[in-house]
Amino acid sequence: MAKHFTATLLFAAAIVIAGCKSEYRLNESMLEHIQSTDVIVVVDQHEINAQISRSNVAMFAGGGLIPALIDVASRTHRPKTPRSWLPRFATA
Amino acid sequence: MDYNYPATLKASIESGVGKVDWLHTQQFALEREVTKERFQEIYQQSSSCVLLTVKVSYEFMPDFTGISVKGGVNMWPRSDQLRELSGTAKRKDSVSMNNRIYYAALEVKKKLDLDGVKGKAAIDVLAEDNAAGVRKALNEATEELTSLIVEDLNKSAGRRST
Repeated sequence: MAKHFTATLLFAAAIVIAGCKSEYRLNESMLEHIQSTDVIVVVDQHEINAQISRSNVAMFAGGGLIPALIDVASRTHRPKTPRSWLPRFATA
Repeated sequence: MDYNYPATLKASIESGVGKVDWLHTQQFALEREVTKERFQEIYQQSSSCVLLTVKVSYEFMPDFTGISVKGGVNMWPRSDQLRELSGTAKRKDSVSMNNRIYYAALEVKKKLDLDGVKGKAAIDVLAEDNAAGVRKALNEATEELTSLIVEDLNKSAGRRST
């Protein structure tokens, strides 16, 4: 019984953690010390990609390992958008 | 499509983020691929107090009726004072995601002017005129994304505008 309770608790904790989206915020004392900033713009694409409709089982299930695995399996077997459509949209 | 999107994006970010006065921006650089090792190198070579990275991706919607431009914005402290204040001074891995003092994931979606055409037919329409419609939508979405980044940075610093 105790084992089942612990397992349930761990599963619930995993769901909560997977659903979190953190944002880090600056505070006043930090702002005073920002005297210079270097900006790095990163673009690793060479053409505009096509978005594939994603499986959102994990999102609707509230996260967790099993729904995430279902998503991965679903995405792996989903047909890809024909790449031959896209070369005309190369973006350097 | 004869179009240099990275250059367009960099110019937009430089123009927008460059006006965020409290950042005191110095250099703007464009990177085409950043591995953890490369980022470590950039971090070490920089002489600024803070390193701000803006990683952008862009794609067609699944039915090709619009585009989406996503930006992941991260800020890492470099100076000793900032690392101390952010509680990251003792961490060995200075470019760890846990060390960020600011993080934002932003997205702009733009509909393409297609008169109800979808899928492969939409691609044919979009390819006309050297994909002028796609370039226009990408340019507009990028400008909007830059505005969102500027707005969010200022919000994070408790400021309403630059």
